[in-house]
Amino acid sequence: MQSLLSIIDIMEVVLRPVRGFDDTMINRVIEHLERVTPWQFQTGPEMTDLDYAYLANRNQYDADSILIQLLKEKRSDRKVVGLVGVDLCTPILAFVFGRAQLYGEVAIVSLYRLDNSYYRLPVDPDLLNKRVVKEVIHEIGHLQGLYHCQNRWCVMNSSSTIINIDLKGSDFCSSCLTFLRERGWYGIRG
Amino acid sequence: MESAVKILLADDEEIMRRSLTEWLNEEGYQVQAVPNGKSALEVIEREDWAAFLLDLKMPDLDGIEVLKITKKRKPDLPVIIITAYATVESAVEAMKEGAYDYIVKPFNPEELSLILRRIVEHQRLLKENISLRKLLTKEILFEDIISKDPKMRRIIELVKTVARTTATVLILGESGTGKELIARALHNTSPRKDGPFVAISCGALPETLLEAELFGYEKGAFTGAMARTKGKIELADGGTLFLDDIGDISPKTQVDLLRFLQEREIRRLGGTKTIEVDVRIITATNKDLEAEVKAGRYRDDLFYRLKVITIDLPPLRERKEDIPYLVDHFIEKFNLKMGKKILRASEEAIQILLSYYWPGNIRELEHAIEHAMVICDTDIIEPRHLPENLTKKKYSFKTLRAMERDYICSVLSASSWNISKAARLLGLNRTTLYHKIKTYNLKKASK
Repeated sequence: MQSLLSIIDIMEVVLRPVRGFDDTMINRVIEHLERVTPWQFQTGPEMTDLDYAYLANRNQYDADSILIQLLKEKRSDRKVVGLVGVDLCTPILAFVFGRAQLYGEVAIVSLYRLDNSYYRLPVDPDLLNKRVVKEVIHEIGHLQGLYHCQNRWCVMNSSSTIINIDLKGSDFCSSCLTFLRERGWYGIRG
Repeated sequence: MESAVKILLADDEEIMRRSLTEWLNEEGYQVQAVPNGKSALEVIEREDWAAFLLDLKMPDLDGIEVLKITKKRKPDLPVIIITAYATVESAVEAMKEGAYDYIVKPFNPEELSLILRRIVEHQRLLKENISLRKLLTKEILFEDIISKDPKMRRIIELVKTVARTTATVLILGESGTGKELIARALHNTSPRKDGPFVAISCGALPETLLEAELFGYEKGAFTGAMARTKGKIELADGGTLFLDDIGDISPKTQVDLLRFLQEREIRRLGGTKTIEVDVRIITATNKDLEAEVKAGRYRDDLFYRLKVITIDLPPLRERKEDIPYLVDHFIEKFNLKMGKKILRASEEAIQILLSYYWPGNIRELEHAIEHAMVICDTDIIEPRHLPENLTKKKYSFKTLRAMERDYICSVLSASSWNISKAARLLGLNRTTLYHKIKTYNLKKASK
């Protein structure tokens, strides 16, 4: 008889915060992520300085350069999500909350524009935690091959404004969930 | 899943093409990126592009020139000018030449996202308009039939081929498997699609009424025949006649129908004139017609005329992988109808739906989702929202042997173990009954 463990596909993800990140916050994010997803999260080695990705003309950091660096430093089969506090951009977009390789191995999430202080609003650690959790799940969705979803309550809905992020939930809609389940990336392999 | 929206992108900078393509891919768009205006003009008419993102400053042919030529060749294609060198003059010129919008690189993701969504939404509304018209006229196409099941996909392919012919089609399948949907798709894909599609359920009408409905009648043909009335066969002239429950027609109607199939002409009840009719016949039944023929209840000559092409639709329990997709489809349908915003069915609810036997097939699933959505007070359908018969009743099936054992036991019990009486009730002789009692080790319960 097939053992239960062999048919359950638990995906493991490594979170790599940039140096100096608050440990308590990371632990809360991981606890929250493990509560709302069937995946397991671990903290990986801290990311060192990000100077190589700095774009002086834009006073921002190139998200793609950081992804390339994360890929170079990858040591296992597990997916990696970097967490940074700097403002990220791409050549074509004025800013991004996060970035991932579609069907890839590494992703990155920036807390810069997820934090209320960017909008000159009172700091709200709970809200920041929720936003980070949604963005991490969203970027992992891209790593699994999911595109942006038209369903505005789905976590894969496009995150182009902070309002979008606050409006959507941390759940996948049934179409996105079916996509993940069919590939055995969400719960029991079908 | 909807087919991807296609976008054409022309930009001479490789890094911009790559970056924009990646972002558009994440947004779910399918992109073809070309490095100059000349290449863009080469492919502009090859595909059905939803939008054209065009860089203003390019060597050889600049964006404004490409825009002018595009507007001549494809006036309805929305062209969005993208540039890193924004000036009021260039923006005004682009808009004058018919650009849909003008944005500056690097742009805010929301900005381009909104523009593209507006374009796609406009195109979606146009499509919805067509869908609503289809709904009103019940104009079903094969694309509307949801299935990932390989057997069902093979059936759809077969039906597409058959649609082009005039062959008579017999659709077999349990109640609720979508026989009429297939018949409508067949008609709408056939060369007769502009003709009428007339459907009648033969099982719902008594013999005389069915005859009048099918063949029509002249004024005074029978009591209550106040005016000359065309029958369904005549009404379907130039189109398709769909006869549902064809296994339920009387021997007399079988003869009448056979005559029509042979001669392709009818005579209204009470009339003397024969009328030629050009109609394609599609029939359907949930009965085993072959068994009916063998039992002598159905004419074999009619049966062979009806089953030129036979399509056997699988019951839902044999294509369970379609259930999650059908659930999504019905959620979407009822969200629209009920004005709700239900996201999905929970994993537990899907498991219940997958484990149910679905004797009423897709129709029963549709009703179950409608039921759940009426009482669902959250954005996710949970097991508690599903009809009780799905959640409380566990479907366990007995073997025929166990069924026989239990039945014999109950008859023996009801006849107080009077073997002669029980054997009579069971239609067995006493020896056979004794043998079965021994085989099943049945014993009279002690008082």
